[in-house]
Amino acid sequence: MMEHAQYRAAMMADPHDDDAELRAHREACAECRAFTEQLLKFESRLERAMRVDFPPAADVLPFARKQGNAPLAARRLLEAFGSACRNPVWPRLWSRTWPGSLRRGGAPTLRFRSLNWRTC
Amino acid sequence: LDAVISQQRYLKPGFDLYMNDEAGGMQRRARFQALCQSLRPDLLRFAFWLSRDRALAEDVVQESMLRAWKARDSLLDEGAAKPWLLTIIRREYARTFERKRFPTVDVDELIAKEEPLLAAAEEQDINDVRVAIMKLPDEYREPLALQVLMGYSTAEIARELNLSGPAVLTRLCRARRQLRAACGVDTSQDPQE
Repeated sequence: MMEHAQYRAAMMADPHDDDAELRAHREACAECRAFTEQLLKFESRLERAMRVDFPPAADVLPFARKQGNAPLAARRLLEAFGSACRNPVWPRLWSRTWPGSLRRGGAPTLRFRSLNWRTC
Repeated sequence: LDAVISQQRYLKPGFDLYMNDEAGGMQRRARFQALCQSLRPDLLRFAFWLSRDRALAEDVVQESMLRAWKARDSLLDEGAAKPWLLTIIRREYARTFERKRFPTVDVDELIAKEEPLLAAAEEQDINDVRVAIMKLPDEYREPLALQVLMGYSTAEIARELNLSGPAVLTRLCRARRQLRAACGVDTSQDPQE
């Protein structure tokens, strides 16, 4: 005959297992019958717990993207554009490039120094 | 339509006169959509217990359905759609980790994040079980979800997860033992390893 531990391990792996040997053990052993009842009670809790309800907003369809959820690349592009509008860096960058340095006379000085170094 | 046919001039070369292709395509599309709609709640739940993240679960299911549509010709029997989609979801979930390295998140943070969903049940004991499931290691949570949620047999779980039958039984047994202990059930009668 099947041992108690063997029966309980099998039942804990699959509480709805309808194997003939398991059934025979359960009918013969009162302790294991009580254990099975307690296990099945917990199993019904487990089944209810696993049936998580998703809110209706989570409408996932195969041919439509979720509302307000653009593809990743598009989202990144929009974010970058929004950030650029909020914090315009281009005018500052432009002022730091060559027209600005020309205005301050930076570029000719640099070239002059460079030529000096070569001739020395 | 008769006028168009008789004049012959509006028909492009290679155009299907009776629109069999287009109509058939639309029909197939509608049927596939209905199939996805019917299976969606279970697929979302499975993806949620796999990822423990509602937003990620929705994304994974969405992408999986698109993949399934593209590979629809490989589904020969519509009755096998559920395990077929589940396999796609598992692969898609694994793929999300290949594409993106997610930061390590504390389980308590995950539970706190998903609290509105987890605490939707009216009974406190159900919430306790949900929190305990969230804390289960992946290798125990996945076969448990396949068995309890999807009604898979041990052999089917073994095939899906590429494990041996005894390995699946051991994982399921350990998963339930951990859950029972975490939920304050008397485990003195449980088999010891």
